[in-house]
Amino acid sequence: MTRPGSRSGWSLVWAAGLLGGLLVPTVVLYLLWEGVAFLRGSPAALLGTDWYPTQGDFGILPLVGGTLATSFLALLVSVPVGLGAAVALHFHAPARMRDTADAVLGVLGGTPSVVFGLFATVWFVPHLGASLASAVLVLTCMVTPTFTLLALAALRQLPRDLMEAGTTLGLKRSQVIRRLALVVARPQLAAAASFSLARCLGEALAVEMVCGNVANMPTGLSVPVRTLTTTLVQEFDYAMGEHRTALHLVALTVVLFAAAATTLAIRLSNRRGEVPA
Amino acid sequence: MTRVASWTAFALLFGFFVFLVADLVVEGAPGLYAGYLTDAARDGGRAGGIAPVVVSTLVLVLLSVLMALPFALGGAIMCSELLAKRPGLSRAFRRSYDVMAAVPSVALGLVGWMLFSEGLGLGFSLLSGCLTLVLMLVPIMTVAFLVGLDSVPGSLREACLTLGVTRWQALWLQILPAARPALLAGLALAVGRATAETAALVLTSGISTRMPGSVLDPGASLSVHVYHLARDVPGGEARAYTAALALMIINVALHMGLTRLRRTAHVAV
Repeated sequence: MTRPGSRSGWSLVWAAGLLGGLLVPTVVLYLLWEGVAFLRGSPAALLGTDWYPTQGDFGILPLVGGTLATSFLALLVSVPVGLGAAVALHFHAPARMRDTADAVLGVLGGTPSVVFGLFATVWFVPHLGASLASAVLVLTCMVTPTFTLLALAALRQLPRDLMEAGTTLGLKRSQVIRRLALVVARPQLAAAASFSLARCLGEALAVEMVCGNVANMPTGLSVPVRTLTTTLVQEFDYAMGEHRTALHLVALTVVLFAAAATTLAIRLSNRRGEVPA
Repeated sequence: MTRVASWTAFALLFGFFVFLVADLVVEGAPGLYAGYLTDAARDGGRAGGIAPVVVSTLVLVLLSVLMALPFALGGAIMCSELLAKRPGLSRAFRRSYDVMAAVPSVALGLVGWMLFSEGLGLGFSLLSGCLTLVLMLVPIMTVAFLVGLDSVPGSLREACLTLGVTRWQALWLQILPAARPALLAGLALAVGRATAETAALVLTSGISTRMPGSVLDPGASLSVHVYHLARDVPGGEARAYTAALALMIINVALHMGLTRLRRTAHVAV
């Protein structure tokens, strides 16, 4: 008893679904097309260390360096702080405190990154300058709540009887946490870090507000830097010709980085942690 | 040892939250007044209200979420219902949605600018911004909707088929209503993400603080307004704080709505 409306209805669902599923891949293919076209003309761009687009120098290494340095250094702070906070909340905090903390983390995680950018402009830049250090801190502020939420979710997934078995075996609480919980949850915690990394790699404006925007290699914390994303924001509206095509390569690079970090995160989150012998 | 270290980390993170909120309130609250949301901006945003920004934000957020909705719902129904018997294909689509949701918005902004602003000749306009936001929102919404559809027990689908209800009727009368809290949560999430977005919009809908006459005019969303005041307007910091405080209030409201929806989603299933 197929009603007349349902057949065309299902076709509409197919059409909308396939179209929606193809939107972003098409965008990526477009970036790939333009990026590769640019590389064919000047393959040296991938290894060049000078980004002076108005003079025809399109070496993207300083931008790649800026992106990787800001993101990984931010994780270096976010992961220990976030992991510590998640452990405190999951293992030590009373239940009522956990609900409040969940709300706080949710609010912080959803806070628009410009708010952190404004905060950093006022509190970090006057002391640290518009530099790598300020950029790292703004990303740290932005991503620590997200990482904490994900780490907390990873700890909550742990089988309860495993923890109880540890206690029964006479392990102290700190041993259960360090030798058992954090070991078994390791793949999911690594996935949380990888998701957070993807967010850092892709953040544009919060970083742009404080990083100094000079295409230096990130050789020190006080050096003003420029990342792949901030380059797009700074240059899109006046780039012409070759410069414009080069920006497509810049966008493609950051998309590939973020996609790689996300894919790694998905792989890791599906992996099961091994119970230590 | 573990205990002390973990509480220290906790104190650091939550101390930061308290400091941030206090900073926003202390610096931002003095700029609030009765006509803040309804007055036009004066002196480049340094004085007056944010009426044009409110209008631009509403247009950008609502229009883009509405435009993304059919594609996201279609994609989610396709993965959970139509491809139910092709788990491999369904999984491939799901994984690609997950990766797409992580594409940096600034890259979508560049493409939106090339395609819509330059290619279609829309320039800096609300419409160009909306179309770009659609690119960003479709994967995010699809992933959220899928969570809802997946939580509907398979037994409901089987019961419908046993009773001779067509799959189409089952979808609209049983499955989607059962997933409604999660679907609404997906919408709330999309509204939040669109409201928070800046990079994609700076490249496409511009940073104008004038009242838009139509969707073909440029207009700054609230997030873009914060960025613009803090970055480009000398002496705009105080008002940037006020706008950031307004953003934070919206964020808290959205989060409270989202928490409530997630709670009902758990009860329903």
